[in-house]
Amino acid sequence: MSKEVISDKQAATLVTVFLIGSTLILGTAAQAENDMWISIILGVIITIPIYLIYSRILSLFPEKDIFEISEQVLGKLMGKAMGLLHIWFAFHLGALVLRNYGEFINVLALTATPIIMPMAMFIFICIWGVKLGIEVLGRWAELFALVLFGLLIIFAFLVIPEMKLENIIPVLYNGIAPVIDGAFSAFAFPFGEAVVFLSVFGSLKNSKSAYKVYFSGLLISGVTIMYVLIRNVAVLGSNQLKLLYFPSYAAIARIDIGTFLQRLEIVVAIIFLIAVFIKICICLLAACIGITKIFKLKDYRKIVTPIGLLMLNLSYLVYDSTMEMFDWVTNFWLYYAFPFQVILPIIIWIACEWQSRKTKTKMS
Amino acid sequence: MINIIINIIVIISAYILIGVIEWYPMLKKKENGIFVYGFLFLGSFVISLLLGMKIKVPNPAKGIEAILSMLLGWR
Repeated sequence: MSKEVISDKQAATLVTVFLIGSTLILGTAAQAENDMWISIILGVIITIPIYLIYSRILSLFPEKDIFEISEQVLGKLMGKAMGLLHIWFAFHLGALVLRNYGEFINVLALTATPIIMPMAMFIFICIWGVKLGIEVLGRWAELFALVLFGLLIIFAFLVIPEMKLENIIPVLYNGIAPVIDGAFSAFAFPFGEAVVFLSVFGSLKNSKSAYKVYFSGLLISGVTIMYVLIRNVAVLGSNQLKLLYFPSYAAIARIDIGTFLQRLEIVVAIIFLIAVFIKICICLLAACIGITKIFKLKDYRKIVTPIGLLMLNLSYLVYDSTMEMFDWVTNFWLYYAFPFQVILPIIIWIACEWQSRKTKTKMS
Repeated sequence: MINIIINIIVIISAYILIGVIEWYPMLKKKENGIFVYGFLFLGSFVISLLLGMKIKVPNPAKGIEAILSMLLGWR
């Protein structure tokens, strides 16, 4: 089978849309209340060294994914163990994002429909998307990113009359501790989640692409998330924001221009669908590529359907209620994701550096 | 009870449909990966069936919660 290759622009768009993903609708760094935007800036700064590590791993072994790299540098057994952990993280993340989508639809639109139905319909579209391959997903993301950012820019203007800038001040009223807490939350969700791309970016064009792709994705998504959080705080105020599961939806619902431009929150749902589709597809793709490499299969497309169905099952049973979902995201995700987002990549990076120095010494 | 029966019928029909469309041609051609596909597909089918029958399936999130709570000394 011929190798799939995506352009740097497509890859950067995939990273951007993936990072914006569920954050657009769920928000992040809730601990920081009206100082969320500072948390995002700090979160981006914390993420920079980690993205340098991700990019370095990919640039040391161009055209290889994390499964091949870890087997090469850590040996067969340890490499496969690392691979299994990466597969689990991608699979679990995909299931959680699918559940976020299910809860969003179930709470706000189809309240009488069993949650499994919208999730099942959506996973079938994602399975279809993944079967078409990363090249198609890249092109799709490139096209729909225009729609996503276009709508965000239009909303940026429409929501201005509802914004009260006094909701954002006073800055640092509760001290720096909640802001730092929020920065770590923002790192774990969403910025650190881009570790999943280590499994997918064997299809980048050249060895230096990873730096460009990761950092442009981080910059654009950081600015977008910061804008969305500032908008939500300015429109709703931090007290109301704490009470809402889906603040962006509530913020956009306030738009009422000339009594005819109103009820625009459905467009938020469209933005969310675009972003979440890419996020679930990338997670599913990463899990499928991993299983293909571990079991030495020829084509990942053959196993997309059963993995997608397993993802659907996990997303259905993982939480009992919306409250539990938010409790898990707020209290457990940061600690659970840390080893996958930071510790494992650091171990692999150290092994990669050691291996590449050994090879250089042998050659000289 | 009627809900559970409907669930079971829907789940079995959906999996038969997917199996006929995807797995059967793979089996016929003896393609690489049929056993991995079969294992994952049957695993998924069993979990779906158990969930459809409202039988409690072990939730990995609870296990992760318990381990994290123990490590962090939360409870």
